[in-house]
Amino acid sequence: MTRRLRIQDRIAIGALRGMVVVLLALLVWMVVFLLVQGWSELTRLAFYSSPPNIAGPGSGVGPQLFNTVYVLVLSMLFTVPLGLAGGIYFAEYAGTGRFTNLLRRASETLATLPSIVVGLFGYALFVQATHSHPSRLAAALSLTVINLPYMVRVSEDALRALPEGLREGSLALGATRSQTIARVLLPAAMPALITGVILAAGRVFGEAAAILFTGSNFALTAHSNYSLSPLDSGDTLAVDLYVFRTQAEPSAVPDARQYADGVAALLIVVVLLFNVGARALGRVAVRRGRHK
Amino acid sequence: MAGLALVACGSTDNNTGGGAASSSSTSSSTTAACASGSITASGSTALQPLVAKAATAYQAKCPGATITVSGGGSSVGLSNVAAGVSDVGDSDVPVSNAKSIDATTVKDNQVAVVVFAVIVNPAAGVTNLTTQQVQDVFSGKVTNWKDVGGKDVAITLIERKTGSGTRLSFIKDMLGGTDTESKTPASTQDSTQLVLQGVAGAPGGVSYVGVSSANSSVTAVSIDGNAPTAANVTSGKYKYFSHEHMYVKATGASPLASAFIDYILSSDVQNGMVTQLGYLPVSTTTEQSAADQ
Amino acid sequence: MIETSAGGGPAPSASAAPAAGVHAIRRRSRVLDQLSHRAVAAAAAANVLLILLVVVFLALRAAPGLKSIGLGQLFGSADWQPDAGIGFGGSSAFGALAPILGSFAVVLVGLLIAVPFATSAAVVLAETNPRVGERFIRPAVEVFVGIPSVVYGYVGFIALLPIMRHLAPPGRDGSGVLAAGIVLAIMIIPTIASITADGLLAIPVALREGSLALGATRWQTIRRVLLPAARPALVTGIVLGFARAMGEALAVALVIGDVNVIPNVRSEGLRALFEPFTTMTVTITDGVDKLAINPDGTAARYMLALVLLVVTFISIVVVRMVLRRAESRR
Repeated sequence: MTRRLRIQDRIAIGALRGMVVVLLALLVWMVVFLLVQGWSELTRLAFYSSPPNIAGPGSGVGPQLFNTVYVLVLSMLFTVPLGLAGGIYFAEYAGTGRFTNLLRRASETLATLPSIVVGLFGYALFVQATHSHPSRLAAALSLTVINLPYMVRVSEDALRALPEGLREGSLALGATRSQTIARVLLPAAMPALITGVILAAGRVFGEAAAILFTGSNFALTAHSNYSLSPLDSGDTLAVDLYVFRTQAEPSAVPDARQYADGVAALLIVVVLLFNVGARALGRVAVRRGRHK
Repeated sequence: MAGLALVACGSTDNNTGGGAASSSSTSSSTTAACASGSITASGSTALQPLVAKAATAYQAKCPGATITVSGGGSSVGLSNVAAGVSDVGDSDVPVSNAKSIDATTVKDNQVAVVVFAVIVNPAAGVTNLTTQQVQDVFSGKVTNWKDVGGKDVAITLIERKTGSGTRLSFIKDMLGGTDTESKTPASTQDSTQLVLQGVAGAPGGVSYVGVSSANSSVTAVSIDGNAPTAANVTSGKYKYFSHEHMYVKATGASPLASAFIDYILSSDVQNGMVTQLGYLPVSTTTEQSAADQ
Repeated sequence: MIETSAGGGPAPSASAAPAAGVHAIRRRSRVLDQLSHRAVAAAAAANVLLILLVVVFLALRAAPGLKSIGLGQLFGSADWQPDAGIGFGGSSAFGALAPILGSFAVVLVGLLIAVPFATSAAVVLAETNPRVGERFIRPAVEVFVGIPSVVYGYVGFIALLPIMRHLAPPGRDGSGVLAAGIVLAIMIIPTIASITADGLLAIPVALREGSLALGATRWQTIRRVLLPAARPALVTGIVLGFARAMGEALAVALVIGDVNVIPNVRSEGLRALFEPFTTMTVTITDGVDKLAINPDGTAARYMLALVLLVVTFISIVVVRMVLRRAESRR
């Protein structure tokens, strides 16, 4: 190998590595920057319990946290059964024919839809066509549209990862296919499925555009709202960041900037927690799988 | 999709009936009676601080009331109240300016006087502009502050979107009624917060807001030597102001909406909160600015 | 996977089962089996139903616009005043050329920035530093992907815009095409990087070793053998990144300036990057509080949503074509 080539090689590889370092540094900087900016709000207990205050300082994210969990859980109630059933179909029943192909393609297309388009669809169907107001139910249903393909894929992967022996053994013992799935395969795939559900939840936790059109009434309520009715509207954390940023009047809300910093920092913290949590669960699942 | 209940839209249906709502709306009443229910007020971002603070205070006084406040701009507020989407439509300008709305379907309540100002970043070094200079700056004819008596800093023009009552007032009061604002500003914004940040962030930043919304990060310039003060508005020397309107439906308006407006018109609020926030009481002047017509 | 016919499990030997009860049980389980098969098939078919619903409802909402606005105006005119109908004067105009061009412009800038970085990350992860890659790059990519897009927009707003303001020509406040492009680039790098990395990892080791054995340097191998071999993956990643960037709304809205004027690239050249602009998604977001009260503007926005939908469909078709060609080559 000539010297020139070797130098070129070093420079090129070095450049590649350099770009990656820049990228990683950017990520680290962004996380640290947001955490530092939002630290004063994150460490203020009232931040987590008070509602946003559109007429003074001291806004918090209490109702938004509640709404985020509410919408997430509600949406998972639709996503998980539907997605799991779809995944079971693809893993256990589907052939390679045209029908399956069509289904797969539909799932792919659904997965690539921009979330703002889903938001507009959600508004057209769940809000306008039903002559109702933006509601957390409409938001949850829109999130289901976004998340369904992912849940299907996760379920399918979890089932396909199971050893063939499980299926054959169960069928040899005289169980029907549905019995095999329900009593043998699903329990065996449970750790992977649970990890999948958590990952799916993490994916829509930060969703804002779709919820902006279907669940938020684009207003900062002057009233703390922890209602339980799915027909009530509500902001989630990510939506709150955007709406507060654009709506809060600075003369009435002097700490608008700190509040927004706090919300952004909280979002980052939750994402990191989700990530770490899902990874840890994944490791536990693998370990348990090995023992079996 | 199973599970979707059909809920009739129209926020007036949400009201659980008024309490002992005061039917008289004389501004001399010192206390407004409490009504209950749930209403929404939307529209002008210039009026929003007053509506927000008043809503908070009213809800503290009257626990049965829920008032949701949002912005969107004066035209959105007017359209909202006309369509029944909001109970109260806040607007910096009268409904006659909204050609698509039948003015007979809504009822006007003037609640305060808002003084607008052209705001500039302090680095521009400008504290006074003539009306002609203002027109030249906003039409884009002048591109550097040194051409109008300031420092050598490029002008960064930040405009409001076309549905803004602040913008319409600006056009009527300062631009002589024709929209000559530059079509290529540095950016257009929907809310006062973003306008203030834009002006405060760019050394040559300039825009317009209600004086009640401005803070110390920007300079509110005098026009033709007249500062944006109450005295100058009353005497007629400062022309960039307007009366703030809160519209409700002419028939079938929510009792809580009426009670809330009465509360804002009460002398406690007019002499207290209104002036504290930088507005002027509605009784300050009956003189109509161009924007009021 | 067991290839059995639909509707029944494998029939156990139909030997003489003494009690009629066993037959009953078997029949019941088979019925249950059939039912559950249909149920999960229905669930899978829900995907198709949802896509159809999306298209139908968007089209329903956009239909009034097709008549009153027309595609000619939408694509041909740059006079975009969708909310003038409920505003204070001026007439409505529905020429969406500015948002449409803006979407493509901003995404193009984003891709130009993202592809080099994403490819580097993929190459480093797959080729030059796989151990470090798995420990740091992959988790980093996962965190990147998990961060909500509003947060990217917010960071862009508070941290990137001041920097842009310094670089921008005087009179501009930093928001514009380049700022939006940078924010989008950061958002799509993980997508492109992970798909490309998977593509690189799938290349048979023999190819790598063969090249090195022939005396090529690592860089030569990467450039002349591996990247071309991973081209389908790279293209797929880029197209999916393109689709994701086209659909991004809130992050872009905070940094793009939202001005409906097409920058004059001919007279300004590169400085046009610092001009404020708008995209389809931004203008749709602008209309969120007017959906119920401005039917014309809303119809126009639904038409733009259909445009976004079509762009998404085309992207998927392109990806399929690329993958199919790659398959047939092997």
